[in-house]
Amino acid sequence: MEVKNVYPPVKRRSRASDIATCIIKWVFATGSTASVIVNLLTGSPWWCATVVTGCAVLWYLFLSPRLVERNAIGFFIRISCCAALVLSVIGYTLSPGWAGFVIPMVSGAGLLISMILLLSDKEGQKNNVHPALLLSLVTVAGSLVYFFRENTMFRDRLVSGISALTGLVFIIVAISVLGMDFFRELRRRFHLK
Amino acid sequence: MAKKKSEFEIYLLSLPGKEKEKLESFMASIDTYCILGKKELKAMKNDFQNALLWYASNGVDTDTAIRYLNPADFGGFFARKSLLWFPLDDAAKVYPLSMKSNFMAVFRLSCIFKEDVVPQLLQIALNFTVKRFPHFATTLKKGVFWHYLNASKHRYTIEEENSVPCSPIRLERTGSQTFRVLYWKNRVSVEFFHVLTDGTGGMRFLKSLAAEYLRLKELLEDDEEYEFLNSFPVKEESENAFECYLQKVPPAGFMDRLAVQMNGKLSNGPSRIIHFRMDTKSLLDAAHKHNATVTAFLLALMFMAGRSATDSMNGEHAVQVPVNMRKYHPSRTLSNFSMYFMVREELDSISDIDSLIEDIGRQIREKGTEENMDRMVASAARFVRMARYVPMVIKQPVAKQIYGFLGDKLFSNTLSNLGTVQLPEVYSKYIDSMQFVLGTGITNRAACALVSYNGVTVFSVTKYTADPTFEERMNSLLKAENISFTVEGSAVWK
Repeated sequence: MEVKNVYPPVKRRSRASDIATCIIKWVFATGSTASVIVNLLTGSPWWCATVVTGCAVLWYLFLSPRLVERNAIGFFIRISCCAALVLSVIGYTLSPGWAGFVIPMVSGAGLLISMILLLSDKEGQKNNVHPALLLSLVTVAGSLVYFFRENTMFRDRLVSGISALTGLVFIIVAISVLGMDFFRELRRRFHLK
Repeated sequence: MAKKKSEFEIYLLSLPGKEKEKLESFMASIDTYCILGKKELKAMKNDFQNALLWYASNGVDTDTAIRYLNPADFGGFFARKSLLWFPLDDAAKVYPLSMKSNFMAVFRLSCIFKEDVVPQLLQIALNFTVKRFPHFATTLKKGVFWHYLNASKHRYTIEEENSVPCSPIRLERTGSQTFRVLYWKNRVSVEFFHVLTDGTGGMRFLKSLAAEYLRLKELLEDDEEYEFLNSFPVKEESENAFECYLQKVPPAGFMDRLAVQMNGKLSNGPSRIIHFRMDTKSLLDAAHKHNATVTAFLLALMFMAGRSATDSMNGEHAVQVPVNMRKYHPSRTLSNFSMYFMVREELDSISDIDSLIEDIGRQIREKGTEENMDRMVASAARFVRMARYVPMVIKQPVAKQIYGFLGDKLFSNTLSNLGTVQLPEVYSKYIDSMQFVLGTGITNRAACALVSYNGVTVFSVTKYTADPTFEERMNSLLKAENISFTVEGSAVWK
């Protein structure tokens, strides 16, 4: 069959990155499984939880491509959440006593960076505040619970108080900078239609 | 060091005083109609300068050029911020949930002109066209429960074609567009992410773009296409028609038996596109000779060709046939409003074309009824209602798994028939034909689409394997039916 070529010469997308991702996926999966098996054999402390969470976080942050809404605010918020998750796992399984002090600082830092990004480019970032907003709500709620909990040390109480305040300030700044756009954005993000 | 003068500045200096003033005031007037960012505004002005230069080099006088490039035709689209957003229709909801970095439901509609495309004018035509389609001038966003389309007013760009048709569209950046306009020689193609529209809505856009381009290039008088382009977009055009025309009928299931697939190593995306460019009259004659519709006739040929392209001895070959629901419900929506049914044939019953046509005709009459299609709509609505309150964080991985497992394994091939494209008579002088290419194969080795314009019917096959059996058998079957046709397409993309 004779076919008249009416298409330009094209280069197919290289599959090298797909293959590399697949290999890394298997390395992570094997490493995680091996760490669980070894840890089960050696007994506590349960360090395998840190290995598994670390692998999952690395995968999520750097190897699983974001197909929708890859932006600076979202990236910093994801980093903050993942760091908080890994820290809480380390704190819970390996070395208790400091996670309550560090985690509010991490989420507060994520919110602070988001705030700077929003203020530096209002038009560009006005539709990207959603993840930061969710984090600020979680931060305020979590920090307040921790703040009013019995047996919380003074330094932990101080840090969680500052963190809750940062969350509140972020919400206030977002409302005052975006005005009605803030509420429109909320309506869109939570729509059920 | 003095800044080097641009081609447009040199052209301005060469003009007599009055002409120069006219052009300068024209360029300044663009600011009034665009509140885009600095970079975008510069690019937009550059588009107008390139178009003016093209007109000048083709002997069009300044007054005429200014009249045709009137930025008032933006209709205020770029002059104000948009607060619009659009929830996805029921059919579109699954596409962003199931997409992957190397798989996205994209289809392509092309207009083949009789002369090579002038990119300078195509860009202006796109600038003028996009305002009439606010639903298309959007970017995909992720909500807590569903994705949605958020208005995104920026300069939409044309690109020279240099990648495999229907490649995934990059959506991740702020303001990313959900469709792309490509040109190559005498062809203008628009590739749409299915989340935006279906073939009918996409064709409406392409017709407007082609008509606007021809108006600018051939200096045509204003006509009904121009009137449409400058009319106000109406609410119904972006409605979720599935919801509006939901009937009280029992929902039908989407599940069916797995179909036999053609053989051949699957490629990563389309491996080849083949267009059978047929004379519509001879195709109709051949179909009528068998007392069949064009769809039933081509389906029969597809079953015969598909039978040759598989080594399986038993099982069913199935072809998915999308149905435009606007045929049953008078919706003006430009969003998705189509459903589908399956035509299935046992492999060992695929031998004689006449008995095949008879059975296919029966299946089309039985399965493609309004009631059956309404039941499919009810199923889609039921799925959407069920998944409504489930957060995306849970819904997305589940949808990906189901789609990954099932994908397109229920059918072996697709035949999407867009029918005959209607355009005012004047355009037939400049447009040769239209093409429709599907790009959604996962395990299917071929997907077929059909569109007619101006006495030319183009049957396009998107191949997902280098094995040429299917298209070669189609070629010999069409020849055997005495249909007058030529074959165009691409090389095999390795």
